[in-house]
Amino acid sequence: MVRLALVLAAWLAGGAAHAVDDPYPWIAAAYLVKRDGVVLWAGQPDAKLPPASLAKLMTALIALERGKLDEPVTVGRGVLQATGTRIGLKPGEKLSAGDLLTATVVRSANDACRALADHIGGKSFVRTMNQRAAVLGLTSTRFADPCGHDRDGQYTTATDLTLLAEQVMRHDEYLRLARLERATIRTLDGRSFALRNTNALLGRYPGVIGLKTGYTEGAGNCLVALAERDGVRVLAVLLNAPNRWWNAVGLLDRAFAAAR
Amino acid sequence: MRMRFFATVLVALPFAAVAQGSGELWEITMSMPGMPAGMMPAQRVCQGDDPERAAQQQKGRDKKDCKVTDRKQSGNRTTVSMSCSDGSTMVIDQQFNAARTEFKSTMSLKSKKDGDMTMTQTGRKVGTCDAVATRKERDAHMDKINKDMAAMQAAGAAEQKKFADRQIKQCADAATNMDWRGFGVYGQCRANKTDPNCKSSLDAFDKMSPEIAKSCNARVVEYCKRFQTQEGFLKARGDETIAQACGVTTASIKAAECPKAAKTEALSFLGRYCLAEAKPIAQQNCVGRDYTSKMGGKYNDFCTAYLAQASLEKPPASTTDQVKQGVSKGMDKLKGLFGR
Repeated sequence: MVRLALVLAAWLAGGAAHAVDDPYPWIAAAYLVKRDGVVLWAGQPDAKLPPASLAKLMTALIALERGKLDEPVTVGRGVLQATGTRIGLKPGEKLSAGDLLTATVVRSANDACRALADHIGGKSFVRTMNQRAAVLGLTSTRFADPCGHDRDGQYTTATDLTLLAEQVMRHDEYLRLARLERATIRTLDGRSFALRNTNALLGRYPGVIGLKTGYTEGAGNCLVALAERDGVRVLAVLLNAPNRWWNAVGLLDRAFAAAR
Repeated sequence: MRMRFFATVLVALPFAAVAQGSGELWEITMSMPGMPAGMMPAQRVCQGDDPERAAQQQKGRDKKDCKVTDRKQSGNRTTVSMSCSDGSTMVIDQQFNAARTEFKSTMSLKSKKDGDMTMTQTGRKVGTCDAVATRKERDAHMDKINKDMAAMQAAGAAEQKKFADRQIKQCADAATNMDWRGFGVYGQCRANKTDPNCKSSLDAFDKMSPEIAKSCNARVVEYCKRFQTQEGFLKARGDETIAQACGVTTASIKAAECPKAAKTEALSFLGRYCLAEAKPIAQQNCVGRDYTSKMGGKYNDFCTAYLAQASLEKPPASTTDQVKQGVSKGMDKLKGLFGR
């Protein structure tokens, strides 16, 4: 009986803490929309779900905070294990850390992400991700893969992803990369890779800035979308949203038009 | 204004008795109670035989409508009482030293308008001067100051006119481009005129230039009228805050305009704001369209807008299974907590 009371109390308290409108509960397993830092709408914002490539936001954050983006990186054999979206890096190739970051952000390339993570932290990189998450106050996030591959025990929430995105948005270099529809990177001996951004909103939705796309079988379609119009910024996080592009456009439109 | 007059009298008075022959250069210091020492710097005044200046001073005194009501002289001490038409009175008590090289005077003013006040003045003769040349020099200096002041006032007025023109144009542009932010405070405070911050801002702008207020308020009215048309509503992106500022709601505008848009097949408006009316057109022209597919044609923009808005509409029950499953999983976990 006591246990029941405690659970109900915790459930009610959790509900009260997130007394935000949830006008679109059917669009995603979890979503959250913020305009100029204020939450407009949220659905299941604290549901723990797999992040897919949105985990790369943390990898990028760590790389940007570390700096040294001109540093040459030798691609290790770890890239051979990278699956999903890849640009085709080969072990032994050398690229700048900045170019690996570009491929990670623009193309969501898992081999570039893996090479970057191995270079920065080796086997302890995931631990670094979790430490950084703890410092940021991402209390419902646990990373198990630097690039977001489905792994047991890896999860995050829309709330935490919003906090992470807001931290990443402080880096102009990330925003610059996230905005690029196309980019070209080169190995130090001249092999080039033409990259096309995975974010379909770029070039289609007026005012879009980024930020990151994600998809895995376990996570479904995920998106962190950021757009700015007339000095107003809207951030939308969608986890497992089958119609993520249409939903994102609809949410952004409505967020810009909603009463301030 | 009256203060300046009395100060002039105070400076001029001692020299009435000594103004003869070549000029005398006096250094005079004034002080008032409550005023920090040194706030009014010593002035050097050349006083002497200058008929033109004497005439100017007399003319100035006559203008002020004040009369000497009593005058007493005893040795080097002079006491003068004056009264003015506004009811104020003044008594000046002045004492020279024997050599007439220094003086001290006190002026007591009683005035309903300016209040009661006492001003003291000390002076010492510091040399000789050419009263006529000094006056000419001072007059030339005053002329220059007056001209500079006039030029500054003209420049200020021109700048203010320029500012007003710019503001008026900005409001005109805001109405033309349907850019609500361009109205600045006239837009922001449209629905909050009683808000203290809005009130003080609007009052300040009104005082600065009533033309700006008149023009900008008229443009806001123009904007709000256009906002309630399909074209204006689209340009303003159906902003609810603007609707509120205009005293309407986006829902009421949609309710009024959607049937019209359906009749005329106004695709842009229908796709964005009239899902029910747009549905038949969308079923014919947007089916199977992916966000990334290249489509072109006259239905491109319509379909993009419609599908984005429609994606947020509640789908038929079968497609909500996924969410139901999520809820069911959550319930299972809860049941697990209760040991079932």
